[in-house]
Amino acid sequence: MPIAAISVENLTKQLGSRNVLKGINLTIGQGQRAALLGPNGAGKTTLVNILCGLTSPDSGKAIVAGHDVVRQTMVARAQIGVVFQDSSLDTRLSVAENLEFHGLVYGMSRKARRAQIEVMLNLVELSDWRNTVVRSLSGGMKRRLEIARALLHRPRILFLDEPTTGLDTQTRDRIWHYLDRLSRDTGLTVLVTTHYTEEVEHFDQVSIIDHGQIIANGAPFDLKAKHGTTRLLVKPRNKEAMGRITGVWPKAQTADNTLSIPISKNSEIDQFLAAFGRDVSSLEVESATLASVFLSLTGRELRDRVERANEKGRAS
Amino acid sequence: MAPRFHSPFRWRPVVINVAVVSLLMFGLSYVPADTSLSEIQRRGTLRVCIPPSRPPLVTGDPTYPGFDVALMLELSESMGITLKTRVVSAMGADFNPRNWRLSRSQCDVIAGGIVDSEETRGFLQTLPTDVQMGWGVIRPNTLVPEPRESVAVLPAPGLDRLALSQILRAEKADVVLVRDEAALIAALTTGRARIGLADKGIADRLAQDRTDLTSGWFKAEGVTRQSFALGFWKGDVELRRAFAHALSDMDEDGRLDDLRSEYGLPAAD
Amino acid sequence: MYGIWLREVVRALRDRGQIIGGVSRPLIWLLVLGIGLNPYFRGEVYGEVRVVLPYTYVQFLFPAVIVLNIMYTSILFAVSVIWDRQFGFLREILVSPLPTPLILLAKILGGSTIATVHGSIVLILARFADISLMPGQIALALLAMFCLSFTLTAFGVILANRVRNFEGFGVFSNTLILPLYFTSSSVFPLDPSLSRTQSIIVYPEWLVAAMRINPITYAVDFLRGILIGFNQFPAHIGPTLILLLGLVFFQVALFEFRRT
Repeated sequence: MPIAAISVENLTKQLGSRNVLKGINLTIGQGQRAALLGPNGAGKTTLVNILCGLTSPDSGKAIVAGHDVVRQTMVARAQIGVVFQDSSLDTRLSVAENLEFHGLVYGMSRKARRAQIEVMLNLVELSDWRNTVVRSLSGGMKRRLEIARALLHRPRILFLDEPTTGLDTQTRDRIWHYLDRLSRDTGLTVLVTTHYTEEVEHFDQVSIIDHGQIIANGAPFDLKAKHGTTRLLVKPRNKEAMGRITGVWPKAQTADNTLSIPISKNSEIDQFLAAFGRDVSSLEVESATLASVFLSLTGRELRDRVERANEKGRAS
Repeated sequence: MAPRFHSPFRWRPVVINVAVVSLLMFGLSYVPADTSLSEIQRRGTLRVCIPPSRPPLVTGDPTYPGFDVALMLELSESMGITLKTRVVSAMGADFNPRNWRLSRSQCDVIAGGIVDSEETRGFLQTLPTDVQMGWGVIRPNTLVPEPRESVAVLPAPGLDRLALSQILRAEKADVVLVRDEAALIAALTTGRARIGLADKGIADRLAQDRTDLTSGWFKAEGVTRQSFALGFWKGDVELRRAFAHALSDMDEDGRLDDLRSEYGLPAAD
Repeated sequence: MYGIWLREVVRALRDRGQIIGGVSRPLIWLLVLGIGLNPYFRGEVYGEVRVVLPYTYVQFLFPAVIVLNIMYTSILFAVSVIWDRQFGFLREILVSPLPTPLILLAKILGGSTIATVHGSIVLILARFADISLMPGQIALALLAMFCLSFTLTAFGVILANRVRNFEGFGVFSNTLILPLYFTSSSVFPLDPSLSRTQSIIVYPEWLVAAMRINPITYAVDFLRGILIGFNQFPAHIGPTLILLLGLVFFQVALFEFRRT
């Protein structure tokens, strides 16, 4: 068992009359890639804010990189890099100036600043833009710059709050690849909060958080094995076929003209095909996802449909 | 040596901005603040108000016109302007400047006994001419320090006799008022008075003529010296500035000193 | 800390708009107003002037225009505080390993530097105002300007903590700066220079009272004392008040900054 990079005990926080965190316990080992998965308003951001020392907890204890975030805030902060949900760049400074500022504030030496700025600019492919004022960068470039900045002072822990919004797949892969290498070489611990399940599938540890509590914790594979459900997505040929299927499989859910049927064993697929093979125009097996894990744990979808629709609208 | 690390912070625009602005401001600080100078240059004449007589600043004698008048002549000549003097009789008759009834329609500059005081500057802008006046002391060489038990006083116009008599009374000195310079010398030589008090300029002149007498400033608590100046109207910044220039030129090449000694004026210390 | 200061200074002095503002204000006030009002304040008849002061009007106005420029720059600097909060940059600083008082101090020092630069821009016009300055006077004036800038910037930061958006702040600051400026004995001498009774007879007492309780009055007076050697109040009031208020404002700003 590696030494814990982050360890949280019984953390509670009340904002106004709302209990945002209700006794969080969490341990993340060094060099791990961990994710906090939960819907908006579950308390992810509050938890990260406490870990960065931006907010103080009402009770409980949080140790980051071996330092208590309440009593040794400054020491702890020097060890972490943070990428916030919303941009926190100075849009009137240039790319390099933003990095230089960060280096100065973190007390990096002249030499270290120079070297690290080059490394980071290359990493996020912004070398050609170094003297561009941030205001005129695209959303994805700003995001990349922000990650570069968070890593500039070689932190031991990197917090990424909803990091991949606005990043294209290529850059995202590149950054994950680099983070992988960093955690391997230098033991960088990465903690991501997200409500996208897809990108945390290959993480070491996923903690599912809802209503201020961690309701499940473990490697994605284990979580899926334990709580996940495999589903059969079928398109019936016609109304009658749909009626026949729902008669036999009462648990099936209808969305548009697709039926979603939860199955617990693979043999059920064969049963289904044997019975209704002629009634369906298409069939798809959806293996257990973290989204389905969340659904089965809370009875709610991780993201509601409206939100998905919005995202689709934004993407197109 | 390691190659110099250029901070990514771009200072160039900062430097350019500040430099451009500074230059602009510097340039603008030379715009004329008013038309006082250009008006006079256009007219070609400068009118100066003077009292009928205020020796040694104004004498009324055209061949030996007095320090202020001679100075004004020299200054306006160097600026290529003709000087027109206008004698205002009220200036000699009354100590209160309000009663002189001077206005812009009469003159551009006022000379001949403008005291450079806070009060004057409330109404005029002054250009100090480095001339000071006040009570001077004249005494036999042998007397050091100045005994004040018997004093001959030659009253001088413009000098505060009241303050002086208060001081002398407080010191219980035996005061003799003399009518003219000859009487002053006589009082000193006959031993009627141990020391004499007169206008510093007069005291200096008298002491210069005689080997047995020395002169100096009369220094005592409550005795003030007056510094003289040329008076410009408030708001005539450009005119005053031009004169200040010409005056400092005169000071530099020694013409001011020459003029001062010609009129027996003490240099300001 | 140097980084925060550097950022503010570079950012503000690179901003053309801000610089232009810093230039146009003194030009309007000194060149336009000074020249424009000259006929009303100049002497026509010996012994009769509208304002009995041993200075010309522009000389009298000059230190006040410096204060005005500093006021604008300092208080509007607080916009950068609102900016940082709105655009999230504040968090970048807050998660850094710098203690909050230092962050605030660096920010305010940055603002003070900018305001001092803007004040010095006016100083270049000294020749126009017919004020000749000795190097010692300039140094003293710069120091005084910096202290004043510090106090006003801290004050601006306190304001910024109360106002959440730019528009509100713009209106707010304008309605605050100009009255403060006009009642500070700056543009016209609300001035007991000859005697107290004179000023009260010439101006209504409420205006004189407003001038007396306005701290800017004493700041203007302080700078006048340095630049043209004229004080209408005891000379020590200005610097004492500025330093005292500076400390108080900084403490208040810090208290509020910590709370957010």
